[in-house]
Amino acid sequence: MRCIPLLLALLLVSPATAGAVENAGAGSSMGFGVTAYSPAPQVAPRINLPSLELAAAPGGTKLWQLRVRLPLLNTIYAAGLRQQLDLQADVFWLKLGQCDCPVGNHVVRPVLGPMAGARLNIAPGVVQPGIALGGRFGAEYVGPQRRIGLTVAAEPFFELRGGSAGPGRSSLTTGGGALLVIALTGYQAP
Amino acid sequence: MRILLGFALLLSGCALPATPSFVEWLPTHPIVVAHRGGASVGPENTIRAIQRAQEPSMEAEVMEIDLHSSADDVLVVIHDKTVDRTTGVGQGCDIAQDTTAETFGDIKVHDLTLAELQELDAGACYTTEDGSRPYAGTGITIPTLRETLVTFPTQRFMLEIKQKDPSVVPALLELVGELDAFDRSCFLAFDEGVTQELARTAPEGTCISMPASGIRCWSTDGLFPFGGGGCPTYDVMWMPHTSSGLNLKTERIVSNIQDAGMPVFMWTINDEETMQAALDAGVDGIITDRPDLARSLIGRPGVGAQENE
Repeated sequence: MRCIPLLLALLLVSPATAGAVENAGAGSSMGFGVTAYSPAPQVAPRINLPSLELAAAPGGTKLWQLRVRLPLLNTIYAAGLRQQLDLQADVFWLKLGQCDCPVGNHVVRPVLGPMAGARLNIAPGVVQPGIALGGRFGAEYVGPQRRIGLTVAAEPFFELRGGSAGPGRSSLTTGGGALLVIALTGYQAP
Repeated sequence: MRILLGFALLLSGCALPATPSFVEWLPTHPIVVAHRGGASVGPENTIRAIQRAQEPSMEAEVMEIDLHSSADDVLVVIHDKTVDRTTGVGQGCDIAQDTTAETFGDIKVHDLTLAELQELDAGACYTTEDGSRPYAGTGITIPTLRETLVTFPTQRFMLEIKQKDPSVVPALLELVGELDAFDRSCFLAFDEGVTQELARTAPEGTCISMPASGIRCWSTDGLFPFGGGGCPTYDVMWMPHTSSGLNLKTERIVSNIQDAGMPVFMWTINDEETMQAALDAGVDGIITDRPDLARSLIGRPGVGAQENE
C-alpha cells in the first residue's frame, strides 16, 4: 500500500535521466470487461482476443512509450465466423514512471496515457469506419534485465461507428465500456 | 360533384387508409408462418397446403413459399432444384433431400416447361404419419406464383428465391408489382448476390430479409463476447434456431437483433419444446411445417385470419 503514493509521485515527477529503459518491444495483450452500445444499450460482456502489441520509446526519452495494438485474432475471428473484414488499430501514448518499489530487484512502474483507435468493418452491404478514444491506466512489472514486461491495466473506451449497414441503410453506433487488460511484452535490452 | 366531394374528403383528411407494409403490419405478439405453405398439413408449396394452413385451427398469418422458374421462364412454387422428391418422378419420393448439394434428383425444374411441370403430381409424395399418401393422384399441381398470389389475394407471403441462375428477380418484382402484392410480400434469398440484386432493384419500402452472411454475423454477435458489431440490417431476420450445434434461441441473440429494428422469425421448428424455447426467447414468429401446433402453443387467433375467409 505504501507504494501507491510513491508510484503516483514518481509517475508525475520521474526525471528524464531515470535509469536505463528498454527501447522497443513486442508482445501480446488480452482483456475482458463490459460494453454497451446504442441504439438499445445493454451491458454485455466483452473479451478482447489476444492482440499483437508493439512498443517503442520515440526519441529515446525513456519517459514515454508509443504502443500500437493490432487485434489480429479478432480480425481472423471476424473473417472466419462473421464473414467480415474487421480491421482495428489502437495507438497508446503512455507515460511511464520509474519506481523502486521492492519487488525483488525488479521494477514496477505505473503506465497511463490516452488511446486513439481506428476501426473499419466491411461486409456485404456494410462499410463502417469508426473511431475509438480511451486510455490505459495501470502498472507494469518489468522483469530481469528489462527484457520482459507484464502490464495489468484498466482501459475505459468510447467508440463511434457509422456508415452503411445494409442496402439503403445507414447506421451510427455509439458506445463504450471498460476492460481489464493484461499485456506481456518482450523488450529489446537497453 | 364527385370531384368536389373527393376534394372535400381529401381536405378533411378522410382519405382511404394506406395499406400497411409487410413490416408495418406485423403484430406485437408472435405469429405463425407456414413453412412451404405448411409442409406437414398438406403437400408442400401447393395451393392445397396453403388452404389447409389457413383453416381455423391453424390460421397461419404468413405463408413461406419457394420459387424457381420453368424452362419457359414462368415462376413456379417449389422448393428443390429438382422435381423428384415432391412429385415422385425420376428418383422418386424417397430421395434424400440435400439442400447443400448442387444437384440432387434427376429432373431439374428449370429444364421443364410450365406445361411439363404441371403434368406432374405435386401431391404424390406427401405422407401422413400412418404412411399413407392421401393426395397422390388427386390432381394437385405445382402452382405458379401468379396462381398462388391470385388465389389468396389478401394472404401475406414470404417469397424465398431459391434459384440463383438465371436470376428470377426481375420477373418476380414485375409480377408482384403487377398484382399489387408488395405490401403483403417479404422477399428472402439466402444467397448474398440474389439479395443484393433484390435490394438494388426492388421498389423502396420492399420488405427484404437477411441473407445467410448476415445471419452468421448476428448469431456470433449474440453468442461470442468478442465484439465486432457492423452486422448488416435488413427489414426482417429469418434465422435458424440452431447453427452448427449452437443454440440461437436465446433472449440475448433475439433481443440484440430486435434492438437493431428487425423482427426475428425462426425456422424450421416442428416440435413443441423447441417452439416454446423460441417463444420464450422472444421471437416474432415461428416458421413451421406444423402451423396447427404453433397456433395451439401461441394460444391466440391468427391476426387477420378473417381477411382470408
